[in-house]
Amino acid sequence: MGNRIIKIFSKFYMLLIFTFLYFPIFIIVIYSFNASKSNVLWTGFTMDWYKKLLEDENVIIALQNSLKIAFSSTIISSIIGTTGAVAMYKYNFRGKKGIDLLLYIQIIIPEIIMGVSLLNYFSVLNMEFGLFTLILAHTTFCIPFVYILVKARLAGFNSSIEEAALDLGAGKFTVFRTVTFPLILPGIISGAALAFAISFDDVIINFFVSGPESTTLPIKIFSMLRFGLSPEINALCSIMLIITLFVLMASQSIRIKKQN
Amino acid sequence: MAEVILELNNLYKSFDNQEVVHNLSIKVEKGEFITLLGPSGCGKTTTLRMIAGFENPSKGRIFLEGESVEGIEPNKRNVNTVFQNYALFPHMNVYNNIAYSLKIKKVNKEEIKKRVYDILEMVQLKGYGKRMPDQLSGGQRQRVAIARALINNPKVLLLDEPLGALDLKLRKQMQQELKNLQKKFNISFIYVTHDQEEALNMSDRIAVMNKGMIEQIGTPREIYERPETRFVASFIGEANIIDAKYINDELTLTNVDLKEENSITFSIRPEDIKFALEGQKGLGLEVTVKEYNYVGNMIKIVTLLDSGQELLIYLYDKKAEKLQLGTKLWAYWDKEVMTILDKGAKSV
Amino acid sequence: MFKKIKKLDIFKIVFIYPLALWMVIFVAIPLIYIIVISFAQRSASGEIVYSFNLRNYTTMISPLYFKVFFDSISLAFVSTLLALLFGYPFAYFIAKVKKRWRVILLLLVVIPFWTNSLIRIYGWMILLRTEGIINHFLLAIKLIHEPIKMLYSYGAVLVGMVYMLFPFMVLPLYNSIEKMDKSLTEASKDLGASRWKCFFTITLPLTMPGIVAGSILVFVPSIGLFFIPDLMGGGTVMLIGNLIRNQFLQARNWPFGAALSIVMIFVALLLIGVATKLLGKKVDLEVF
Repeated sequence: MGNRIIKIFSKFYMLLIFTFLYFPIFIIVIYSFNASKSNVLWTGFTMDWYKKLLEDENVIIALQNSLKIAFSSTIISSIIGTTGAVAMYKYNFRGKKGIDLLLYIQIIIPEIIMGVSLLNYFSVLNMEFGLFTLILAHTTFCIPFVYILVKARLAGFNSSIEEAALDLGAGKFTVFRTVTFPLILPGIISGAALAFAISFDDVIINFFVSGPESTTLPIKIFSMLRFGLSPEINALCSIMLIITLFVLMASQSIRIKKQN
Repeated sequence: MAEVILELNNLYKSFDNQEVVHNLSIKVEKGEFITLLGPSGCGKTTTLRMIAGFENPSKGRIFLEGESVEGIEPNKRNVNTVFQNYALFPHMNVYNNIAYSLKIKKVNKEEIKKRVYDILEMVQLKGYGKRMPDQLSGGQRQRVAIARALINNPKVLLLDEPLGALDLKLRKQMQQELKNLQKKFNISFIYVTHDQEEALNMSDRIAVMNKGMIEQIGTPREIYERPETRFVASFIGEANIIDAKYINDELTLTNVDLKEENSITFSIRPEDIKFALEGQKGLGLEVTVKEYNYVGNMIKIVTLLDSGQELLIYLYDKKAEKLQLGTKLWAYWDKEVMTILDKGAKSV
Repeated sequence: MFKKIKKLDIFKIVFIYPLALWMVIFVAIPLIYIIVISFAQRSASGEIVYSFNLRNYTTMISPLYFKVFFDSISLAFVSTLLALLFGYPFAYFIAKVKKRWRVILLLLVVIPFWTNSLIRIYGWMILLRTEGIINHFLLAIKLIHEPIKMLYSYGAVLVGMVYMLFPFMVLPLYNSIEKMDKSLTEASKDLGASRWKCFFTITLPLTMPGIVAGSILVFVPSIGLFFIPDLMGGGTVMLIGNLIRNQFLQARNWPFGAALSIVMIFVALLLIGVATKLLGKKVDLEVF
């Protein structure tokens, strides 16, 4: 008897939490189609806000910037994260613990510290703040995510197949290309997708490391929010939502396809 | 008639439309050591869990001391379980593991101390109170699990293949210890195992199970010497299961069609078969030697019958002259050691 | 005994160095720099003067800054506690669902997390405004007569924090709960424990690693998420994160900002260390 009550309560509770999680997002998307500016009264369906948004040059530039940065940092961090994960998995060397610590630190300390330290660093080096500094910064905080996912994939890896390949005469690079790489690919894809999402959605680092000419989408949203709420923000958020979800869903299906 | 402490009446259990226990009935007596013996998947563990209360029967009733346990939660049944992997609480030391149930019953501290130390001594773990489970060997953990369950003085103790993870020597030792504990506490033990030697060694009675059903219940001797079904015969010990036919009071093996008159299937243990090199004495069959293997404590002779079936013979006289392969023998035995499993079209 | 000639392992070099170099150049050195300038001073013209002194740190020893630190830590602490209280049952129930559904449910928990943090905050801003939906609804069903001020308050900041970091609490909790040996709860029930007793004496202690991990993953970021108090607190809540941001982007007193950052990391790590020692201790816990 008690079991049944618990079962019902558990379903109810989970539903409650999921409502809590999704309701805000749901509201944003729905009201981006609202004819009036209000976020409460529904006056009619319209795509006006999206039109207005896409006509706004600043928004378009910000979107392009975010995408450029996300793509670049994803590619670079994937390469570095993957090779690093393989190296850390296979080898013991001096400084290994240090690198482990640095990766661990990035996850443990609040993002604001990373932002601030890079801001300081780039200005001491007299670098101009813009897309380049943003890409460097984004790559830096994306690497740990790729690293962890690839490392996890390696953990279940049977290293004797690499040894078999070596035994059959393949050089180390060939072994990596033909044996290791295909098998860790799902991890790399997951890592890359995650890196993209994190870079595209980042707020804090952008705050500190962007320049006047290199606004990114999240910064644009933030400044729009400062000015007050408007359905254009809803539309912008919905677009960002779609892009992020698309990338992640696509990566999942690629991953699954590759596994079959 | 001994007192019945636990009764299982026509139990059925299905999981997702797959029947796991089928019309199972047993009466367990007070103070007896009864084993559920069978291969994996035969339903013995499920039966145990139904008694403990972790599963509910699809049909049928369970009576503990005459009262139905239907609807009673596991923590309210006067039955305790020794789990297969011991399930010792890793975050508590030996003392607290054993004292757990007493603390729940709010027994006072002094009494808990006394009872825990007493039982620690009984399972030969005196002084181990402060150790943590991960500091114990397999055999020691086993004893803690038993002590933890027994300290409650349950009416029935359920043991789910408790010795499976131990090496052979330790297992034999623990078998004896468990037997002694059972007699000392005089609690009914329901033991589950797939190891028939273990079952034969420890039990007062054995229930041989297969595919959710009980094939036979009896004392170890009955089960071994008088198997009632083909399954029991082949599962317990080594058995020869032979199709043959009586012709004029003599057993003859032809390519017997079991629909024929006077045809039977019987089982006979390899150690009960004698053989002679010449002449035909008594009840038996002609065989040819196929393999002759010395295995240390005996000699295993594999012979062939005319029909092509194999007959396994155990020879304990290691000094006997070695037989050449292809030698013809007369294998014979006393009528009592042979158990007829199926009679053909007409009875003998 | 002959000496082995060390052949240059190109593979090893190609694979180790990118990561190693990047970490050093973009993580280690910048952090060291921050530590360095925390001991520097800001000149009148806004330049950094590298004369070693502790003034930045001593400035912090004042009631004003203590209050800010205390507020930040207590906010982080309350957020963590709320996340734990709501997250534990949630993770527990998911772990009890049929295997097929578990992955889907976990995915559903994570998906909102894939959206931009600002989007998520924005959503709550819309909901909690005085002209927002929630107030409208409550007014409509006559539960209240005047709109409740929900946004721009401490409570709103809490909601934002918990919402932002919820998956970080749920996932480690779920892992810990799911990994727990089920036979242990059965054993405890077999020995007479009621459902609640079983939970408090067995499940809770054994899922402590998950609780600790989840708490750290919520606590640490919540000290630094400055835009949540910014947007949802409306300036009524000033935390270390806001302070640091101000120093770097507005007041342009980078040395002081650096010092604040260092202290912030220090305090965070200290608390994590203490919590781990206390809760994750592998002692025989007297659970009664």
